[in-house]
Amino acid sequence: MKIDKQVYQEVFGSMPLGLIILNEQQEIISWNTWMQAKTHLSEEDVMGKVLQDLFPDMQYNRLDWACEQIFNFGAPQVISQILNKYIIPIPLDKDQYENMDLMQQHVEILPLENESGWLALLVIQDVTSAVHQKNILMEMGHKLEQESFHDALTGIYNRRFLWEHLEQQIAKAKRESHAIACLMLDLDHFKQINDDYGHDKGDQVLLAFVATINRAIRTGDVFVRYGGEEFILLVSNSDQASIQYLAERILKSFEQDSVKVLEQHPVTCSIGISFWDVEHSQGGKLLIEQADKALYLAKESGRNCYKYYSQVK
Amino acid sequence: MIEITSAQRDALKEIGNVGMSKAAKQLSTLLNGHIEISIPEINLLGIDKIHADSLFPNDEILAYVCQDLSKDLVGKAILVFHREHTTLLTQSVIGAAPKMTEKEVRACEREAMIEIGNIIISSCMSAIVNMLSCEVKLSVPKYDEAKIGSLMETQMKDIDEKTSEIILIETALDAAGNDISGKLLLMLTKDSIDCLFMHLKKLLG
Repeated sequence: MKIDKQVYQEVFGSMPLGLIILNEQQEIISWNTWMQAKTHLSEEDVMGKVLQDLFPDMQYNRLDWACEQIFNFGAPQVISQILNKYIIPIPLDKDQYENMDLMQQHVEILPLENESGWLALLVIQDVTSAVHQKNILMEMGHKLEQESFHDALTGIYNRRFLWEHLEQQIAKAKRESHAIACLMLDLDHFKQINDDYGHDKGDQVLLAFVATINRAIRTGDVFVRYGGEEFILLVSNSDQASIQYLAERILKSFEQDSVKVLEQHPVTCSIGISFWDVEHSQGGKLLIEQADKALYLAKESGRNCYKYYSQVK
Repeated sequence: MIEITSAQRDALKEIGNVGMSKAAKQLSTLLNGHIEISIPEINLLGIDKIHADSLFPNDEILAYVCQDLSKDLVGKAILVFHREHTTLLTQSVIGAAPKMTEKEVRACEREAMIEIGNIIISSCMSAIVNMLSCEVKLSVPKYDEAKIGSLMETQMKDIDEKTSEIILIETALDAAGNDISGKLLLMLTKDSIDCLFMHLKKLLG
């Protein structure tokens, strides 16, 4: 049984996809029901017109190139959502999707052979919902990543990030032949502050400490809450003189800043410093252990000071 | 095996160059950045050479976009990239996507590669059609990943008349400072290779 033309027309009209046929002048010669419903433009509104006149904001250059391939060579074309977002700007219902106001489209353009040459059949798939879901997943993934590598109270990196990052940092230093300074910082008598002023004040002291360090470090330095009142700062590509200056600045600034939290009660910190360089090439774990030993020496030496691992006997 | 003369090689190189330049121009616009494509190297290779580890390591997973050819030239146009190069190429277009899972990143790469591959293949094929005045019909592009042995086996299966030669168009893309090398394999039936060379002879007078 041969299917008559009217059945084909009905199929064309009722497909749950946008179907447009263009002639070689890129004039619309067919516009299916789906397109009418989505654009609110009837067949009479669009027939014989070119898409650019109907949609001045459309991605005309991409479509024009693709149509050239169709009309000159009959070569089918794919226009992806990932690279183009959409071809024809079709507004979505207000508030339908957060952060998206235009329908996201995957478009295939197929050549149809005609007595007088080629026609272009545009097949438009609405992929907005899939893109929306992907965006939600990406946001969730980003949030989870943030949470898993960041300390909830201070917002800086946590110990988990340090272990993920340290070996990469060392490999990079090895490649680029530069040194890394590891500063282990610990607030002095922090337990006493918590006992005397309560944990809320203790948290405020920690936040003030983080703010002090953040002001003192460069972009690219890695600042980590190692646990409780203990922090680690990794500084790349710096000489001993700069590290000494940094340590002195931290000690001085924090003592001043902490007074804003606990009036009449300046809080201090102690710092242990170790170095990684190509010559020593110790692993990340050892680098931290060395900074820890230097910190212990700083505490032994009366606190509110910095000591180098090289000073540990 | 057909012997390719230096004049024929030069003519094919010129055709490949026209196609690749056209693709580079369109890709630069689409990808919103400068894309450079090197002057391609053209070779006529025996199928056995491709199996024999000369183009790609046998155990490497390759990414490819394929379009079927019909009418005057019957066969396949297959654009092959090293798998990790497709990640670089896609990243240079959509940026690094660390917030996505591996599966989502692969889906994005697949989508982008179909369009990028489609642009390169159709630009090259249109240059061939234009300069050799022949007629070629292309199918909708498909993307897949496979080792070279399985890629060749699958694609050859679809070509009725076995062919022993493949036209290889090798090119390098520079997208956002990443050197990405791609190989376009024109796998044609024996009749189509003869037809192509007949048109080439006509072109060269």
